Amino acid sequence: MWLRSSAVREWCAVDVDAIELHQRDASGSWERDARGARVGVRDSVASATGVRFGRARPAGAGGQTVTRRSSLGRFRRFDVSACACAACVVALAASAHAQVAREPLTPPRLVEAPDPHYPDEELGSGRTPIVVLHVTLDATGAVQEAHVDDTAGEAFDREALAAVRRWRFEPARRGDRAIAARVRVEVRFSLPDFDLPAEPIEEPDEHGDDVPSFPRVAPAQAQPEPSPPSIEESSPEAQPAEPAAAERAEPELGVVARVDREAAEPARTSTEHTLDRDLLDAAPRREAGDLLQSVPGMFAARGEGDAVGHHLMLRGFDAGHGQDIELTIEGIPINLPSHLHGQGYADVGLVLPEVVRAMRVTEGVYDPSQGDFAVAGSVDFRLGVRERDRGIASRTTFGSFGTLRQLLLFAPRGMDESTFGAASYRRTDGFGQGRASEGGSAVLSLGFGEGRWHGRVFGIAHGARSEIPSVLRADDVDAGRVGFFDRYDDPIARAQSALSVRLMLGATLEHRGERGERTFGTLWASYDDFRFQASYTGYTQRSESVPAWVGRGDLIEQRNETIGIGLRAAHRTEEGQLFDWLKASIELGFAGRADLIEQGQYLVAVPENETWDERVDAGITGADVGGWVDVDLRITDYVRLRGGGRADVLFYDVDDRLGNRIPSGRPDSYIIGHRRTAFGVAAGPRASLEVRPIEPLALMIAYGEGYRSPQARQLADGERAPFTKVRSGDVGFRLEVGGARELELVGTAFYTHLSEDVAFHAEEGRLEPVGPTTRVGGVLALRTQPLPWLVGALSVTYVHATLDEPPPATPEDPTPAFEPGALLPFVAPWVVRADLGAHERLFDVDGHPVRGRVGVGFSFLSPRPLPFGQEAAPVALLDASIGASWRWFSIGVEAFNLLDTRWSAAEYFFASNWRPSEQPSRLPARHTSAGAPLTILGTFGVTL
Amino acid sequence: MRAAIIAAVAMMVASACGSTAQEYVELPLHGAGAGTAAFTKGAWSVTIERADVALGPVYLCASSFADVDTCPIAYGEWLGTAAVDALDDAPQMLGDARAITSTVRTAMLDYGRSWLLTEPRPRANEGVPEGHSALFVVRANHEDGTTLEVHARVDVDPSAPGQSAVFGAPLGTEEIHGDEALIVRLDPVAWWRGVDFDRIAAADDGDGVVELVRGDVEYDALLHGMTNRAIPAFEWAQP
Repeated sequence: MWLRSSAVREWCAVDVDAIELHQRDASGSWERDARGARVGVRDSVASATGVRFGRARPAGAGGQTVTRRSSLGRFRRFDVSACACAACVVALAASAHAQVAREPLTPPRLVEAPDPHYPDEELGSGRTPIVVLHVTLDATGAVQEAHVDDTAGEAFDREALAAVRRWRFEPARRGDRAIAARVRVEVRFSLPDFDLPAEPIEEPDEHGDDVPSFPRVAPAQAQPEPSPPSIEESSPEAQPAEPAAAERAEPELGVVARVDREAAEPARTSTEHTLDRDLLDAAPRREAGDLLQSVPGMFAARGEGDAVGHHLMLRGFDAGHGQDIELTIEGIPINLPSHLHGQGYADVGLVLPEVVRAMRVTEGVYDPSQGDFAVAGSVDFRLGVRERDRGIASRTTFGSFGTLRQLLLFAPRGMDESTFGAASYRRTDGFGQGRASEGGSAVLSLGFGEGRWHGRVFGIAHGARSEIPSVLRADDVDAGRVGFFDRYDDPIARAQSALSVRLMLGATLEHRGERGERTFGTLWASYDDFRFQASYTGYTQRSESVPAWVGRGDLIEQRNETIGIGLRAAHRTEEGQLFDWLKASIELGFAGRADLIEQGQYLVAVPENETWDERVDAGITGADVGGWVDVDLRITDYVRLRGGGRADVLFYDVDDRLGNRIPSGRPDSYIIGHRRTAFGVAAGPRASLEVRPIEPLALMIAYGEGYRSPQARQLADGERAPFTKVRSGDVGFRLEVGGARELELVGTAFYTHLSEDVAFHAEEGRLEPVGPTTRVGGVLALRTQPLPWLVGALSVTYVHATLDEPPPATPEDPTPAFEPGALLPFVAPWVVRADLGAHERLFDVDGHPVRGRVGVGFSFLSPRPLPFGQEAAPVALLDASIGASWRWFSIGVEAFNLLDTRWSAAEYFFASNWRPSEQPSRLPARHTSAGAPLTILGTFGVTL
Repeated sequence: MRAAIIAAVAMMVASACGSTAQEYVELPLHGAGAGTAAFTKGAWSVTIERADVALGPVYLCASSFADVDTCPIAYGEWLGTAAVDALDDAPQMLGDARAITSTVRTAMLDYGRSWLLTEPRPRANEGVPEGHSALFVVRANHEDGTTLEVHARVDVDPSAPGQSAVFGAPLGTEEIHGDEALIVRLDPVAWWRGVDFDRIAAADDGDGVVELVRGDVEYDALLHGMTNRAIPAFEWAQP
């Protein structure tokens, strides 16, 4: 094969220290051909992106083997040919000669290489084999045929073939004509080391095309002129050449497949998912909260403005702002314990969606490493920028409601996925009154390491301020007294706003041994500041501090400041062969965190924000120290039993500065304040059993007990911290056809019982206990990528969630909103989600491909029960996007709520009074917070 | 497959169960008098000739003693105000109260004058006769032949912002289904029984007409009757 001169020049410019020259004679060894023009370029090692040239590389004469620490965080081994630069010159000359002699031949380029799946049954083997394949490509670049040339065993062969069939190439070309070709591909399986997906090395082609390319295709054999092309060529209609001829003439294309952490951690239940970037890219996403929509059974909506966390719902849990979902970034918790606005408050706004490479979702609590708030499940955002998305990028988004978002991404190509920096700024006037917001985020991540060591340090900063429209009475909307997208024309409504600031620093270090053992440690620190000022009830409150003060408006101010530090570490042993039929490994883990929390809640009067009542003024010191044991038993090839237990010890020191408040009318006889401490232990078993009766099908059953820590301020002195205990069981199946990405169908039935649940209390603007609850339901989820350019997912979740024993009526609360057996409020029994995305090369302009993409996302929530037996309206939202890219440029249009459905991001049912000069209604009424109407955003991007 | 379909149908059916669905309903609300206008007290024979009493708003609560603290959420309410001829024992339509199907136990109400949380003092609601909670004209004849005509324009004000004038009025434990009506029965005779007509007569300046005004002991006695001694009685009835 001859390389076009420009390509060689760019290679030399881009990667000169990683190339070497090879020539191959008829026997297969590399040398200069008769014209001195055969130039092969190969990277001697796998880059961190997992790309590797397949053949053993002969040591170049005069070459020396050196090592350098790459920015990818591991050492690269490569040869530096003493004549590297000269080689480039030779290559240029050869190429020029070739162009004169005949039409240039362009090799196929690998543009997409989804990760192969490391066979589960081989996880304990410690093997890192190479499977050599012959792959026939048609004139469109599609894989027509693949067969094993060098086997590594049935399991590895199977996964290698499955992976390669999903790869996508740009076809080989003679001149401008696409031709069929055959290539030889090596798929190397390596033991888990880094959780970085395999990606082709970004390499500009001769046109400077910014599309990821993989042109490191070496000429197969020197041939005298007129020689057959080094790529076996045929007309589009022609059949591929015979293997013998192809072998003689075909180019080589080598790829090392990395096994990422997800693959190394096979699911314990059928509803444990990894949502990869392909799927996350399918539907339009504005923010990280939109990524969560694709989690089966999840619905996320912002009902309180852009500076307040999403309201989350997962598998029958109205998870509020996160009290029932353990949300983490690379294992570092986002949830904030004892947060005033909601226990476990988590604002995923600090996550830039563009740098999320995958989400690991565990529904239920079956993994011993799951900690606090893993009640409905856990979601871990895994950060990284894929090679094909890397570069220096600027994306400007503008559109409806004065929305502007500017993203800057710095992710040098060829570097570790975990090395990048990104910053974004966003502002909007909002889609209605009281919705203007402004915010920014920045993330800097640096991956490092060598060999089996890998580490990362990263920092995230996020800040946002927004106006809040709060909620509107539905009867006021229906009567036209206020517009659906408006807020009340009242001073306290106009004063509603929120501010959030979050800073997170983390460092991780991981070692993966040769035999599958793994050790990791994480240290983190976090600072969060939250201020919230809103009124849900209008004018109903009376001052508790000075009872004569009334009627100044229920403008609640909440302040919460948390400083947290923590660590997490675990070690998993290598898998030992205890018997012929039994292999076992064990993991010991440890996690701890300490939080210093200052919080206060007040009633303030506008316009001067004069405080007219104090409701909360407290300082809390909390600590959570936990450990877990996780045993993995592989009993023959058909049965796998995993499980163990986890125990957490929690400490609380509460300085409740308003405790022991002196009732009005009683003379002061002491100084108010109530300091107290509490201690508690939460422990429980977790186990899962997997049976594989036939290869593509796995049957799974799991049981686990988890916990949610208490709101510290509600603890009495010396109280054994009353954890919310969750008991969860799953029975399900997982069917994988053609590898998990081609078709994955999972189904599960689940049962969950909580010893003490919480629900939103409008008067206090926070969560209050509602007693034990039970959920029974099922999930059916499908994920498919039948073609490399097409990905889709569909999930249907049903849950029957009931209140078992809500708090009885008391003199203080004589009219409880909940009755035994009532459906759990705010929980939609049915949640449906569909994602569909396609991206493909469309045509060429000026010799450069134009690539298009389309995607849709659809979410449906069935009517949700509300307190007092009422029901919220169903929600059906359709989002769509379309875009194209050419060279460095990309444009796109994203439409959210394409059908312009009028929907409510939040619905509540309580009493309020927003007409202070009229008789106040005390009857519970439906209140809504409008969801966004049709929103169209256009994006223009440049990636260098 | 069949089992899966059956299971799915069963789950869908189950999704409709478990809810104690409450509904908004409307309850016709009536006012009525006790049916008597005359009584004797000591040497006085008293006839109430006029008793126009304002009612509203009315809140129906689940608590055993409805007041502003124990009834932040009501299960039924009528926010209007209307005058009732308290001498007529026939139900007089006030309006339709909105309610949620539930159990209610006590009520609180105003006599047409409310003290909103946001206002510095009580005020008369719309629909109040001459701006007062009640207008009374009472004729009292003494055994010695003395005749008095007593006029009273009574303002029954809540004691604190947000509070109702009458609280804790028993409803009987009643489950609202939406097919019932509610009658608020007033007993002006009981109110006037607490008045000392001898003292009123002593205040007569000779023309036989006395007007009770705020601050008078007998005025306060009347207030006490309306808000404590003989608070309105609620009766459930068929609409």
